[in-house]
Amino acid sequence: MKTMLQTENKLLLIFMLLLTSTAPVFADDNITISGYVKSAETGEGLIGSTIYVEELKTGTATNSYGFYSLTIPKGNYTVRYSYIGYENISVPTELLSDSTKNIELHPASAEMDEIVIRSEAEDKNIRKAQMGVTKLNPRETKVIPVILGEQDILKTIQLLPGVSSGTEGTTGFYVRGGGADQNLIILDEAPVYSASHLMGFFSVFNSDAIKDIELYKGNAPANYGGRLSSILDIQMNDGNSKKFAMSGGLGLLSSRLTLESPIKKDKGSFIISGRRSYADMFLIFSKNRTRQKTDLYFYDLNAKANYKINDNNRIYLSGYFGRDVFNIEDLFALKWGNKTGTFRWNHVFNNRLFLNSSLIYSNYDYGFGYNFSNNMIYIQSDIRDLNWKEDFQYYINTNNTLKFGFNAIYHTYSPGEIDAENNDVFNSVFMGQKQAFEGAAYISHELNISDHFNVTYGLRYSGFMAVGPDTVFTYNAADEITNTEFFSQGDIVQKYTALEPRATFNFMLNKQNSVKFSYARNTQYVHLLSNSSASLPTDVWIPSSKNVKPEIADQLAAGFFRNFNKNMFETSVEVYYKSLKNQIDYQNGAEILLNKNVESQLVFGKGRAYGAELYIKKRTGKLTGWLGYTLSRTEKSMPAIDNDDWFPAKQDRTHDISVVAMYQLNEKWNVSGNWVFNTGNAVTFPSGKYRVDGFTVPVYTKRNGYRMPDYHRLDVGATYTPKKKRRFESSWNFSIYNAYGRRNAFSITFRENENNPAQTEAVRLSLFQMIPSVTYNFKF
Amino acid sequence: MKPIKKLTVIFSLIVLISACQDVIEIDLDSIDPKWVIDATVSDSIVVKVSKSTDYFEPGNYLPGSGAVVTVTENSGNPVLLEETSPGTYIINSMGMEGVGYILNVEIEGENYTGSVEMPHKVGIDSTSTEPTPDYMEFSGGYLVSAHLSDPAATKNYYRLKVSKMNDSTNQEKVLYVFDDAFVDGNKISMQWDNEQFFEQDTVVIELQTLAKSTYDYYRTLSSLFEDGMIGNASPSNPITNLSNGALGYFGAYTISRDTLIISK
Repeated sequence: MKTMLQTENKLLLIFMLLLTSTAPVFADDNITISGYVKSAETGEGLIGSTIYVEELKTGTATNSYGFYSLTIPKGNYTVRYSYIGYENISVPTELLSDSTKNIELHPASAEMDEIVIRSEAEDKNIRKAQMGVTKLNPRETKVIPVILGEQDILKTIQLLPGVSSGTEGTTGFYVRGGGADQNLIILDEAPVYSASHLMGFFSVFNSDAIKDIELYKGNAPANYGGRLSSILDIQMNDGNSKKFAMSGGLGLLSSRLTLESPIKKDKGSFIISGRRSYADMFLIFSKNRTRQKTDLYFYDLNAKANYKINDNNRIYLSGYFGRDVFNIEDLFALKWGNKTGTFRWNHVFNNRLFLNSSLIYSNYDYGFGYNFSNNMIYIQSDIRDLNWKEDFQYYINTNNTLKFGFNAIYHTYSPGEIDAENNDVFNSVFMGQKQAFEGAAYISHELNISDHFNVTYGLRYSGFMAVGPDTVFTYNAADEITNTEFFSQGDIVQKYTALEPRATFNFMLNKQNSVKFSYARNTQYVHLLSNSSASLPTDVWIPSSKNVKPEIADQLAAGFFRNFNKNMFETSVEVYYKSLKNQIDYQNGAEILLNKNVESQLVFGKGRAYGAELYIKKRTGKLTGWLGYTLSRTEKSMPAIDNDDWFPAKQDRTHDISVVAMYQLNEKWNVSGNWVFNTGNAVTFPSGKYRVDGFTVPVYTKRNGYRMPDYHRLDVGATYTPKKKRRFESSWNFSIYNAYGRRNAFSITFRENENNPAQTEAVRLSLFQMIPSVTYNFKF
Repeated sequence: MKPIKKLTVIFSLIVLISACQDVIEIDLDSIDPKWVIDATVSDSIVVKVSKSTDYFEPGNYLPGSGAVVTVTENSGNPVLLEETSPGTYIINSMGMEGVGYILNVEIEGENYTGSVEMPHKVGIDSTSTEPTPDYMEFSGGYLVSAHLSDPAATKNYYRLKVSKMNDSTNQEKVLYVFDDAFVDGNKISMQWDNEQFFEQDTVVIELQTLAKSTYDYYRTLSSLFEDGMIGNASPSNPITNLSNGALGYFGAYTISRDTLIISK
């Protein structure tokens, strides 16, 4: 412990030295220009739009609220503002003193194909130090064909290199070999614990309500943290502050409706977006009476409002409510959902210092009832987070940007409770509640050392403290309780802290080529226990504790980035190596659900993941799209499993290919297709069998020692957009999922042959083949 | 208690709407055959010794003849079991509640041991039938329930077996075990919802109380079957109480039986 503290102190010292050595020199003749960049059409802040000073060949980009600040010497300049899909504006500006410039950009006119519009931001991948990051705009990906026509950002993310999908058709994703719980998904800063609907086939993110998505593959800057593999940062639309607007869509599975309007023109706005599925309506036609009595639906509601108090203060209030309901009368009931709420206050202290304060509430709960010998019993479980964040952005000058801040989360976990009221068979069970504080302070510095060399480095200091009341058990090798400790309210049960250094270096060889290196450490204090290959809403989240240590990942990555043909093509090769500590798995025969001693069922070990990712993206022209290829390996090693030998993780995939193509045939028709191929997941199959008590029992030899068959699939789609009539726009989207009907294995199970029980056989279950769909979208 | 079972089964149902199943060829490794010991203490002590085979081999399990099989009661002297047919060793002595048994099997120069304690018996209080409810996948018949009183403050483990009398075609396919984790000390009704019976059927209901290790073996074995088509993420060999890498288990259970003729 002492040595660890010493290393931590040393690290801190080095960091402070670095920071002071690069402290900016303030020149008196510098002035600052700052403001917001917005869409002239909707008044939405444009995230990541570029502000470029032609004469100085320097610039900056807006933050996630559309704010920018640029400190440059006094003078006469032409400042160009640009954003993808919008027309550039060049403003001749005489800059003699600090000034505020709020800019509105117009969307590219309909005649000009939106993707043809080029902006300076297009070479961001070359200029910025950040690597392993992908930014997506739901508008750009809306023509990609998806199952049942249900637009889904998580499914688009699965098509990126370094990201692999979970089981067939589901929204689960794995980033660079990390587990599904090692992705932090935040919606307007609020963590979403279970991002899936309907057994994972759909994500909770209604594309109509989403403005911007950023995915960091493990080297996120220091302002993010808490998960090992990735950060998926999703921003909701703010709502149209110019005029009332309505949009929506009708699909086979669900319908959507979005309303947005100014609260006061150019001052504030709100948006409400809802979605509900109606798959269960089809069940009425089922001959089976059980299915007739089945409820099966989900809904989402996104709401957000913002108001500008004055030039320096703006507040935002946003919320998400989603729910899945799955009921079979007298037999089974399952409900789950997320609720999040975020209050944010943007405050501009002066034209170089920006502060966002957030209060965030996040809740995930599930209720699960089933008929147990003619008695319905109900199990309840939930997680609640209260989170306070302060994030400062200090734009020192064009070469120095400093981000710093902190956050403090109070977690409450109720892992399970059986409510046996009105039931004389079951005893009520309360699994106990767990409470914990999670906090972090960070500082991150973006530094341009020269035109050709820039670096972003930072440090995050995180901590986790489990607090009473709690009962802590110690287990021996036979999982028996050897010691029980009681903690009362306010007692500290367990404390962990960690220093998480991050750095990315970017060497620009020239305007088209750059080489980047990065290192990041991440610590994760909450863990998901899931023992099924499908993502069930009843998977259990547990916090770190005396028995469960925080997971730690160190990732080293290097990349070569090259743009061709005036940034028409964006290409990159990235390699990474990730080393993971305190990874969690189950011992054989583990009992996870409603087990007070669930921690005794876990085994711990280490992991490693490495790979190479190739990405070729064509950004402009009639044909757009990308090709992603990932070659990777992900392994675990646990003393309790196969004698500490390295074994492939379930999500280990040697090859993973995605091809996405969108082609604008003419003004009305756009056709698209995507093809995916991947090596089958690692699975455990039996090698032998024996007979006991009338049962044929499989013999397993190695964890994940076999492979599922290779997976491949082609989806095709076409979008028809009739000419806009006054304000009314509409489109029809047609698609076929798995167009050549490949029978991909969702699972392979083993059983006795029905006619000859002595013979055993392997059975493949395949889910979706040639699933057509049609969706109608409108907007006015 | 195993609520997860129904959850996965029902999810499988939903998946089925657009799914299809087929038998496929896959390559599985060949493994060295291992000794399998299927030993139980209940109304008598029966030990069956056989060998495992490769998974896709036809199920011809070589019996382990000529083994020296002994059982020791508490700290008494080992008693030799008689081989009545190839690989089957029997002694007609009833398992005694609360008594510990040690099994030793010596075959081809290797020794395999295991120990188990005979659990206390919980009997069937009564049985009942009801027409198959609407929500089941089958209909028109009757479901059978067993009622029992779980002893308070002790951990109890059960297995329920229900079958039609003299029905040799009905191969044993269902392994249904449960514990009293959430029902400790209560009157419990266990419904056999795996199959229905019809009027005039004579049904045999058997309630076993299991030793903890026997329950663990059955529980982990049944989990290999019940995840259905979704598949278990990391299936593993059932938890055994045998030493030296032997497959199988040394189980102990009490039996309480009841018969019932289905009527309206």
